[in-house]
Amino acid sequence: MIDKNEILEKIEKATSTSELESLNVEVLGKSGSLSLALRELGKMTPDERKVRGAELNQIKTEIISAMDTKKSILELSEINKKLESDKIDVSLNKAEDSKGHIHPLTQVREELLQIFGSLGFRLVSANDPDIEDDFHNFTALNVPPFHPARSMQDTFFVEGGNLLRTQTSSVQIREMERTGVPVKVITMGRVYRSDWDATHTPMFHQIEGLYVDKNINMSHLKGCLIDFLKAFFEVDDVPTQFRPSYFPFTEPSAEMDIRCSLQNGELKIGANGNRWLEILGCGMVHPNVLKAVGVDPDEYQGFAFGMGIERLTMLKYGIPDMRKCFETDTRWLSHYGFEADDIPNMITDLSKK
Amino acid sequence: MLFTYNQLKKYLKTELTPDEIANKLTMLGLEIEDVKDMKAPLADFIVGEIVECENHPDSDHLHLLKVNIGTEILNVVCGAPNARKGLKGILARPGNIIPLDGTKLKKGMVRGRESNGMMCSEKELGLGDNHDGIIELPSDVKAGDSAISALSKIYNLDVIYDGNVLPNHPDYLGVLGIARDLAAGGFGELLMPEINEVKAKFKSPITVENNATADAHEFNTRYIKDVKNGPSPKWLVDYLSSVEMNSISALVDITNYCLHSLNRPLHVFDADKIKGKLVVDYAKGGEEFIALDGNTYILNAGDIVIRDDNGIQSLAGVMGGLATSCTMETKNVLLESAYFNPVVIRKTARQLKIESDSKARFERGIDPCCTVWGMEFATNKILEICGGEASEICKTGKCEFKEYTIDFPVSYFAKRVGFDIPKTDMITILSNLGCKVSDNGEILSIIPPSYRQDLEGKADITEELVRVYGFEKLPAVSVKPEGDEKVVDTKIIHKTKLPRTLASRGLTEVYTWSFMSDKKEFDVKESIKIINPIASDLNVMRQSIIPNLLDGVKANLSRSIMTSNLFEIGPVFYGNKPTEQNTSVAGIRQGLSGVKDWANSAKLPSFYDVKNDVFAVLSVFGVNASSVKFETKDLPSWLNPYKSASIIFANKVIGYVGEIHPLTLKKFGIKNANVVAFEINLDLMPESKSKGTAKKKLTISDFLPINRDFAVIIDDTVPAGNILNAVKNSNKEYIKDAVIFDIYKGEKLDSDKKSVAVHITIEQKDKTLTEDEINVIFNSAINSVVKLGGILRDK
Repeated sequence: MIDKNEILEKIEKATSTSELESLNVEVLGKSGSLSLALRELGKMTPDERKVRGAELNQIKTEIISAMDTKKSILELSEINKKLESDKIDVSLNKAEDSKGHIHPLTQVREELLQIFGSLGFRLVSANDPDIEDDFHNFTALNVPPFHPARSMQDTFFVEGGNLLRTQTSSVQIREMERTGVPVKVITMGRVYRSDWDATHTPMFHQIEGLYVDKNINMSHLKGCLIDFLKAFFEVDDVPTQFRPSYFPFTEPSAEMDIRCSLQNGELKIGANGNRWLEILGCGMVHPNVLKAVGVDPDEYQGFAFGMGIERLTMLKYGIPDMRKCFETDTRWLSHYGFEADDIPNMITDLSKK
Repeated sequence: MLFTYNQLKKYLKTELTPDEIANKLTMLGLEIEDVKDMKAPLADFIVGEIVECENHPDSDHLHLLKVNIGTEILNVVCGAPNARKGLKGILARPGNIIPLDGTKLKKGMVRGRESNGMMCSEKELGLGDNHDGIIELPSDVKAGDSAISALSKIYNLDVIYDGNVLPNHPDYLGVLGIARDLAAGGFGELLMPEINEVKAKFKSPITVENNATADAHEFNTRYIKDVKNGPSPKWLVDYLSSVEMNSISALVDITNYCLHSLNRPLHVFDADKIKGKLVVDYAKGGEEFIALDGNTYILNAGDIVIRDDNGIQSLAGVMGGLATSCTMETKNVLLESAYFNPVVIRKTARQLKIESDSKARFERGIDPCCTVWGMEFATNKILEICGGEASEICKTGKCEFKEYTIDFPVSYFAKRVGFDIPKTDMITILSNLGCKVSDNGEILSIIPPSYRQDLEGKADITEELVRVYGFEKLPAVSVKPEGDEKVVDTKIIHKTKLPRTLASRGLTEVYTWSFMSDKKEFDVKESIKIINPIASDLNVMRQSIIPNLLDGVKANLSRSIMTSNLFEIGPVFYGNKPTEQNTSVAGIRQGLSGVKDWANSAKLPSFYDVKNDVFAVLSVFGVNASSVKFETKDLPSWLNPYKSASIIFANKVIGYVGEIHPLTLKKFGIKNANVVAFEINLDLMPESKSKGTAKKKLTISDFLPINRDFAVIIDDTVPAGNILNAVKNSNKEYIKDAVIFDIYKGEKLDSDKKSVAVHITIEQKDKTLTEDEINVIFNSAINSVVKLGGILRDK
């Protein structure tokens, strides 16, 4: 005899899905009690069968429903138990591989390329040797032997009669020899002078600009440099002072200062600064330089400028000691360096804010 | 160049303040780097009068003073021997900063007695060297007066400028020249010193022969007899000390005064020490010469010298000799005023490594026409200070300064600088600078003065005009292009991208020197030596970047930085001539890839990490991994030959990749670390021509790909890369991919064998392949490996 209540009670008391499964076999399996009872129906009279059949089917439906309900409850609790046993500590972090960084000099070189590119200067990438001959580094730049200007920079010499270029101005000569005039180029590269302290290293980088055409005059030089300074330091107004100076390869020669205050290594540009800070040297290309490359200085003229890239980098990004630029200290490099995706561009702000 | 406000005012009548002068000079081209006002640190000091002076009961030298400062009387303890009642001196009160050492004076107790100040010595106030006692002011000053007004009565409280004289302005090496430029700029009126010609009473007894007139263009001497040398008068001592020149004796000081104020170097010989006649000549080379600085110099052929019967007595224009130098006992003096070829002076000084104020002026070019003028100036001063009687001037050679004309088109100025100034202003400026100007309409004919031989052509005249007229008046005009100009080529873009690609792979960019130590070079044919290196371990140009990176790893390890993943892009050299260089990229990996943590995700680097770095570099230049080969023969000795390869592209070795040889690491002092590295010559990368055009159409099959695995046992010498290539090439149409998913070597196999397991992916392009069709493809893949000597192990 089927005791519905007993079965329902057993279902209710089941503690696991496997217990429920064996109960299922016991009741609803091939030789389960309910299946056997249903098989008995065949031996009954039609009237008996009708009554008993409806009764048994009702019981079956109830049992199946109870089993399903109990099964989902047990499954949920079992899966939760399993998940709980696999609990993690969310306060932990997983270490990433060490990040790589871009050197601040590379970042600034790219900024310079963006700015001067937008001003129409083509970058000279070849034709700019570090080992230079006397002609390109000195003589063609209007510095004959025993000229006092030679001692303005302490030159390194290599065996075989050549030297390490003391300035990127040598590229002016090489580029005009190669392409002639008009010419509107920048070059960036390593230069070498025998000097070593917190603001001088025996090797450093310069950017050199050269613009020679028929009507390029000193007001263009000033305009070009002011445009550059505004873009580079990302300020609308850069108070500048243009003052006379001397370079053998330019005449007139000038140096440009910016008005700023410099406190604890932090540069603030603006009219209320307390000092003028020298930032670059420039001038109108000396007629002798043009003559040295076979250009008629009465027909063509133009300007040239040069800046130390380390100096610009140190000023913009508050770097105190230039020598550190050439060490491999990854603590310094990750602090003053840039992420791989910090790409400077002129469409938005030049550098990341 | 140091000079003072008061010195300048001798030659310039001006209303400008010291600060205004500094600013105007900077804008004229004499950059004033420092202005030191001697009055400034004295502002808070006052005059104190000692009204009582008793001995300190507990000391044998201290005094107890009562000092009147006008408003009150203070107790002061003082140790100066000259302290006495009635003396008026300078009192420093608590809070005052003592100029000598910058310390702030505090109220103190000295041996039990309160002291409310300090009576100051000259040295303590930065006014001189005297520290023997306290300053004694004249009696007409009053207690409580300001120190500045009181001290001005006995000291020259001046403003000292430090100006940076550039090579194009030799005239700035004399105070008179600076005054002249300010006057030309309209900032005052030039006051030329008055010089009276000395009435000579006799001929110089010392004859002079000039055998070097080609370079000793003019050499003049004058004998002055019966002089009385001695210490200089106070004004001259003060003058020299304010510009940091030592006072030697009156005779020498006068020549230095002349040099500094007029830019006219002179020399004085003790005439009694000269034997026979003086000869101006060239050194033969090898002669010894003892100079005034006490050093012995070995002269070079061609140096200009002045000798007598005893030998060389002076190195012309550079330094006099010790033997004939003036002393306090000098009675008769020979004064020399000459003009020498600047190039010879410069060469001599450079070869002998000798510096002097005289040399600094001769080498830059002084006024060739001022030899006589300068001599008269100095003679007057000598006669005035030392007495004596002067001879006629004995002249040899003649500096024939030839005037020259620069034709300057008026319109050239505007063409060159972009704005105009009136012709009349041009003429005024140039005339004030000492030029003779004649106005020929459009052309100005300009004759520069003898002291401005740096003015050579139109460009120089333009510079003079623009700097005196005012640089601040220059307009600024943009040079932004109107159209779009292509400013960089693709190769530059690639080089710009490269550091970012490598940084994103965990490598950090460094910049190291282009030089290195010859002791650390790798397999170089010949070192490229620097003749004058900055340090003995930076004495050759690098022919590879890797040694510098290894030095970097070593430096980091000694900083306890245990991971160094570094790269550099820069020049490497293969010869000592211009352009004998390449641009190279090198990377190095040492240490765990990250922090060692609970998740154990950090790994030590291997050959395969840097090989992937190489692929990343190549892909920046558009080079596929499949177009390069890795070969293990002919490797350089700095690499581990069993874990390294040369990189071959377009039949050329473009670089190396692999593990650094343990012996190389030892040489660099790197212990207990394995280091992998790569270096590629970027000049051998192709110029990419790809543009932003449409890409090849992507087709993705609707049918799922089929995966099959197999393993073979094969000789250990067969590179796994060859197995993969064979599998891929066995059916290029259907085998989409093949990877090696396991390599086994060990006990179960012969020692010269390995088991390689391959996973292949077969693409079903447009229909479902039958089992037979799949087997044909699969078996041909297996057979391709069997042909390499493999025995099928497992399918």
